Amino acid sequence: MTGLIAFREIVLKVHSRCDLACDHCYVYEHADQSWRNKPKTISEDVVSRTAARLADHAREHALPSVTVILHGGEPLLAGPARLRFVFEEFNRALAGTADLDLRIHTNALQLGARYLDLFAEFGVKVGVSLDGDRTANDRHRRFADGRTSHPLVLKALALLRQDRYRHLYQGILCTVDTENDPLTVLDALTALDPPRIDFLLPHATWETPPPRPDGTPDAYARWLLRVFDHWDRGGRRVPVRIFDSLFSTLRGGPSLTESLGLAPTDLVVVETDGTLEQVDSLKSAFDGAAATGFDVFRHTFDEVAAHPGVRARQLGLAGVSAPCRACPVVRSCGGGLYTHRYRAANGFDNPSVYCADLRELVDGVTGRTARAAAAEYAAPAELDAAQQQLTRMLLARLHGDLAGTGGAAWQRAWELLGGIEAAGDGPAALDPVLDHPYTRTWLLAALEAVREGRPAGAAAGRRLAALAAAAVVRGRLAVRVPVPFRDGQVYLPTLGLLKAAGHGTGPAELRSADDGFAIREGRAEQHFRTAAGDRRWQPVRVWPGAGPEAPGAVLDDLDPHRNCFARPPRLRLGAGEAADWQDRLAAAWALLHRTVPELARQAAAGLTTLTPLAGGPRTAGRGEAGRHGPGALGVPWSAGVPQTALALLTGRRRARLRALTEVTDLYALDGEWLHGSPWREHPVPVSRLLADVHERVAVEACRRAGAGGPLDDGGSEAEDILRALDRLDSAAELTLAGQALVGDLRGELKAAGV
Amino acid sequence: MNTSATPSTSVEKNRRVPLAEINTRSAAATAALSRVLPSETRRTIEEAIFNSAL
Repeated sequence: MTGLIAFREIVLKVHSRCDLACDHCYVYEHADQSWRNKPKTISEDVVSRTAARLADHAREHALPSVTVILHGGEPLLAGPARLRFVFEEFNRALAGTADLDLRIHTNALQLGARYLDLFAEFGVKVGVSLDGDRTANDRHRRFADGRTSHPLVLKALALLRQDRYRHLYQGILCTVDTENDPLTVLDALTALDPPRIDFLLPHATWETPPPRPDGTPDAYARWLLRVFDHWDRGGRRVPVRIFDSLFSTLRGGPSLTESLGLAPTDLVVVETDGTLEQVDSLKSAFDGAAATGFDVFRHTFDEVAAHPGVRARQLGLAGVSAPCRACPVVRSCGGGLYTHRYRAANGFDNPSVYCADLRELVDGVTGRTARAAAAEYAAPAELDAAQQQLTRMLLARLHGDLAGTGGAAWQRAWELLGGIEAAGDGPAALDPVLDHPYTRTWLLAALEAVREGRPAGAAAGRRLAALAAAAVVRGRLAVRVPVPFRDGQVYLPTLGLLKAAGHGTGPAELRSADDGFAIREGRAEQHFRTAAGDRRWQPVRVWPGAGPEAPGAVLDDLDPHRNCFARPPRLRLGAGEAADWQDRLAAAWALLHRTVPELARQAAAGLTTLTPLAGGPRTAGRGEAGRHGPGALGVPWSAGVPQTALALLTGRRRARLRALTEVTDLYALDGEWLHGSPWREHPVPVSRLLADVHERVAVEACRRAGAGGPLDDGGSEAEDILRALDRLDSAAELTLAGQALVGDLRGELKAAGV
Repeated sequence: MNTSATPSTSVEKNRRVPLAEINTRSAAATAALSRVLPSETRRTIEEAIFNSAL
């Protein structure tokens, strides 16, 4: 069957009874009472059948690993012999097919060395339920005769913490009761030194709402946020799954628990009699809510995976109610645990009975982490480092993807780069060449060619060799490198274009020299000064700028990979053309600095490479960001001073936003919702709306600050921008970084007098 | 290979993973590359998400 989400987690009920009588237990105390009809202990037959079915499932879906969680009831009641059988059988069935991750979740009352030695033998991880200190735990987790269970659990946890069993300790699950003191609960759990903790909301539905002793709709959120603050103040010593899930989704990543977020539920429950059920928390909704009608004897896991109830919890955004889909926190909340949405009148198509709590929890964690995220997202040093790392990763990926098809030229250059990198000052020579914006363009194009099956190895080998040669020259490294002429010339990135002495078909070698480099072709060697051009050598022009208001840059009109803008690049500028352009650039920067000094500084920051583009200026005079690394900008050569100023401003804005999206997640699920835009005929994804606002804020600031001057086109988009910002404020797609950016845009608009 | 310059600081060396050792198939690398490579699919974190166990 196609389109199925394979089960990666199997919850194996090895025993259907329990030696505790917790009054909040969803198995025994809620709507479903099917436990009464189940055999107490799972049979060997059911175990073997389940293991075989799982192995088939893993093979069919090529699963690299599966998790089997022994559960119940209380799984230790199955006894060590039966548990050993389970471990042996699953290991045997999965051997050679998928890695097996075995876990057990227990009340720990019977957890002693006998069991722990068994678990150590098979690497079974142990999770324990505990609701806090003795007072908290005794509120619900007692024996049927009312005795406390707390001392026995503590004794078991002390054993689990011993060095010989410590590696099995998976963590502690705590069910929330708002009558317990949250700080005392957290301290009690933390003192038991677990590797992780999670807090669970007690199972409830709209038919059986959770207890709210103080009557407030957000008591659970306030309780959890008090835990969060205490945990944060204490240095976040123990990971908390519910908080980690929120950190993940707020940054645009997946949720980490089925109780939050939109991650598909990929688990199935196997009961002691072999019946296959949906996630068992559904037992809180109504009797039989988890049933599927399938069992391991007669049905495959794929048949269960196709069950509508199972599919319903894998639909992501499409699986939550309409109010949830319209809610700004839906990516993090996900409508809460599926069971908690149940209402007899219409099933599960509702927000959670904990909706107010979940909203407040997400907003609360957002508010507490937004400032750190904001500081992170735009810190220039962090962004630069991330971009550099991205380029290196792309290069390493290209090396892997070429898989030898780059030939001897690539291999030699790759080894040379490794040598340069390892040398003392090698990185200082290599990094500027890697950071050259069109290195990124080359890498992306080469990776695309490999992916599409086009021959890419030879060209890639030549560029990498040229890159290595450029690094040798820049670093004055004492090594000779081959020079890869093609059609009689070679571009040395960041340096210039070299022509061969003859046809360039023979071998040629480069070495660094005092103020440049030397090329040996055959028996003849010729020296070149890096900065001085001649008949064979055209260096890139380095424009030193014109004072503090006009930052310099490399004027790259030579790199063949500079052809990455919407408009084609100019061919090599003549000396006079280059001089004219530099004058216009200086005037344009000066105009920008006079008009919008802060935005001008922002535009100048990080700019390293200007490439003249062909054709006349567009009517809007907007600059272009292409598929290049940070630092480059394409500017129409023939644009006048005001148009060049606008091109510098808008082009750098676009490039800045692009650079941000390449190393951080400003949004997630882009395209799931469409937003009305004042500037587009049809609704657009959030990425488009954000990009449009990002640019227009700068242009509006220019208009206002330069009113009546050359940068004022007489229009105003202030109202449209404000409306678009309001839409962005409530966009569910935005991550913390995206929200911080929107906040900054509001700040810029306000500074511009809107 | 001889160079004429002084060695990089040890702090910088510690941070830098050599090109040949960069793992481009890890979950973190896939996530990073997926932002610029259209064909790259971010692998979801393969955590067990069952609510009633860790």
